[in-house]
Amino acid sequence: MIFEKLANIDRRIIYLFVLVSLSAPMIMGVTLTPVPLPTSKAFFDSIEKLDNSSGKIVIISSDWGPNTKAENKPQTEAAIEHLMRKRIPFAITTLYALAEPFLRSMPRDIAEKLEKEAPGEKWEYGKDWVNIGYKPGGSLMIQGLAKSADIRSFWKTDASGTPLESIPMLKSVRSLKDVQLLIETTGLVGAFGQWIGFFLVEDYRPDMLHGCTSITIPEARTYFSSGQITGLLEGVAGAAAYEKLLSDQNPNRLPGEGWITNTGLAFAQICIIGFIIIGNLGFFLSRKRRGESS
Amino acid sequence: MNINYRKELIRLLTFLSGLYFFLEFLTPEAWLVSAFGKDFSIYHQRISEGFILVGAMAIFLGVINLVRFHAKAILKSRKGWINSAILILSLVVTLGIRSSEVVLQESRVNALTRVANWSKFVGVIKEDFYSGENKNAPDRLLTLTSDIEAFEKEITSEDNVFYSQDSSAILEKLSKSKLETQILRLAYERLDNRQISTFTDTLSKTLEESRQLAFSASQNKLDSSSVKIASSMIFEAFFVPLGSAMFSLLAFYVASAAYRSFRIKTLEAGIMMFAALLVVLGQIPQGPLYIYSGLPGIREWLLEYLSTPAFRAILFGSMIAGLSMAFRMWLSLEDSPLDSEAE
Repeated sequence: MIFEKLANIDRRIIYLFVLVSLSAPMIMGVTLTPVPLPTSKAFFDSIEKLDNSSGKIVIISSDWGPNTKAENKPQTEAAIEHLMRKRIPFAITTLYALAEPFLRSMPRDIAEKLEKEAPGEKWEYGKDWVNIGYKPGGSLMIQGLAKSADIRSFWKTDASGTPLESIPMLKSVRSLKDVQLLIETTGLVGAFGQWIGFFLVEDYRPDMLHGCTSITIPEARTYFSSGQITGLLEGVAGAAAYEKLLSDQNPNRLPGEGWITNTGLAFAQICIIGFIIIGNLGFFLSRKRRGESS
Repeated sequence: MNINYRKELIRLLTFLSGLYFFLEFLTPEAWLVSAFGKDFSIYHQRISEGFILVGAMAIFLGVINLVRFHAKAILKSRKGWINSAILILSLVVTLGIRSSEVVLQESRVNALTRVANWSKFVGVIKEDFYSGENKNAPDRLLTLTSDIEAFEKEITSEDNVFYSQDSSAILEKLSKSKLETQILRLAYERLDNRQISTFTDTLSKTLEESRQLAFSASQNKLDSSSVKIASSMIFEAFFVPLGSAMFSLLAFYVASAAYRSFRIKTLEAGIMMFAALLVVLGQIPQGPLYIYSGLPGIREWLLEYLSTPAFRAILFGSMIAGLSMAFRMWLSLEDSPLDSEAE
C-alpha cells in the first residue's frame, strides 16, 4: 500500500515541493558557486581577446522575450557587463519584437551598476553602446545587413530615431568588416541558425558567440563543436559559470541574476531527482509485492 | 478548360521571388558589380525592404481576422464572450498607447533633425562660399539666426518636446551660437578666410553641443510623458509577468511528468534516465549539493560525444527535409489554400 502511494504521489505535492525548493533559496538570497563549464570559459576568452582600440564594434542580437527571460537575460546582461568593463562599444538589436523594451533597460542598468562599483568612471549611450531596437525581416534583414556597404545607412536610426551617423561610436563603422564579434542570445529554435547562415560576406565572417536556453543546448552544441561559434552559454548554468569568471576577475563584483537563479534551479533539480528515485522505488517494491502475493 | 489566373499568378510570383533570392545569394558580388555597373547591394536592400513590408502587412490581416472573430463572439454572446471582450479591449488600449508613443517619438525625431541640420548647414554655407556656388553667406547665416530664435521661443512652451529641467542649458548654448553666428557673418563680410574657417568650426561645435543637450532633454521628456509611462507599464506590469508565468508553469509540469514517466521499465529507459541524471547532476553548483567532482567531466563527455553527434544527424535529416519542402513550395507543388478555395 505504502509503496503504491510512493509510486503515485499527488501532483499537487510535487508542485508544492518544486515551488518551495525553487523559490526559497532565491528569496533567502542563498548563492552557491556555479560549476565551471568549458563552453562558458570559451565565451569569456573570446571577449577577453577583443581589441578596444580598433574602432570595430560588437553586435548583440537579443532575440528573446518574457518567456525565456529567466535564462537569456542573465546571459545577455553578463555579456554586456563584460563588454562594458573592457570598454568595447556594442550595438544591441533584436529580431524579436517582444525583446525591445529589454534592449533599453539592460545596458542602462548595467552602466549604473558599474558606475556604483567604480565611482568616477562613466559609461555613456552613443559612446559605449547604441540601441538599434527591433528590426523586422529575420533572415532578409541579416542578409541585407551583412551585404550593406554602410551599416549606418542600412539601419538608418537607433531605437529613439536618432540618425546613426551622429552616434560617436559608429563614426568609423562602415561594413560588416567593422564588426569584430556577434553575440546572439535566444530561446527560439532556428533563430541562431539564421545568423550563422547569412551574417557573412565572401571574404569575412565575424566571430560568433551564442547564449541558448537549456532546451536548445543540443542544437547549439553542434555549432560549438564544429567551431562555427567560439563560445556558448548553456542556459542559466552557463550564465552563472560566466558570471563566476567575471567575479574572479573583478573581486568587488556582486553576484548577478544568473548566479542566484542557478542556485534556486539546482535545489529544484535535486528535488525532482529525489521524486524520480522515490517513484522508481515505489514502482519496484509494489511490483515485487504484487509478484510475491500472486 | 478553366484557368484560374489568380492561382497561376501567385505561382509565377512565388517562383520568381524564390529564383531572385536563390540567385542573389549564390552569385559572387564581383559578377553583380560587373553586370550592373555599380554596387548591387543598394538594389537588393530596397527589394528586401519591399518583401519585409509585404510580411508586415500580414500583421494587419491578422488583426482584422482577430477582431472579426471576437467581435462576432461578443455580439452573439457566445460562451466565453467576456474573454473576447477583454482581448479586444487589451488590443485597443495597447494599440492606442503604442500609436501615441510612435507619434510622440516621430515629433521628437523631426525636431531633433532640425537641430542636427544647423551644424550641417554651417558647413554647407562654407563649402558653397568657396566653390562659388552661393556667395550669399551672410544672408544665409541671418536665416540660421532667425531659425534659432524661433526655436528658442518654441522650447519655452511646456508642450514642446525639448521643454524640461535642462531647457536653460539648451537656451544658454543657443544664445552662444547666435553670438558666434554674428561673428561668423562679420568674418564672411570681411572675406577673412582664416576667421571664416576658425569661426565655422567654433559655431559647428556649439551647435553640435546644443544638439546633444536637446537630445537628452527630449529623451527625458519622452521618458517622463504619460504615454511612455503607460506603455512601459503595459509591458513591465502585465506582459513580462504574464509571459514569464505562462512559461514558468512548464517547470511544474516537467517535474510532475519526470516523476511519472522516468520509470525504469526497460533497459533503454534505465539508460536514458541514468544519462539524464548525470547531465543534471553535472551542472549542479559546488557546495553542499556537490556529490562527486568528476560529474561535470562526465556531463561534458555525454553532451560532446553522444548527444551532439546524435543531434547533428537529426539536424542534417531535418535540413534535407526542409530543403525538399522549400523546393516544393518554390515550385508550387505543395497544396495551396487556394486549391481548397476553388474546390
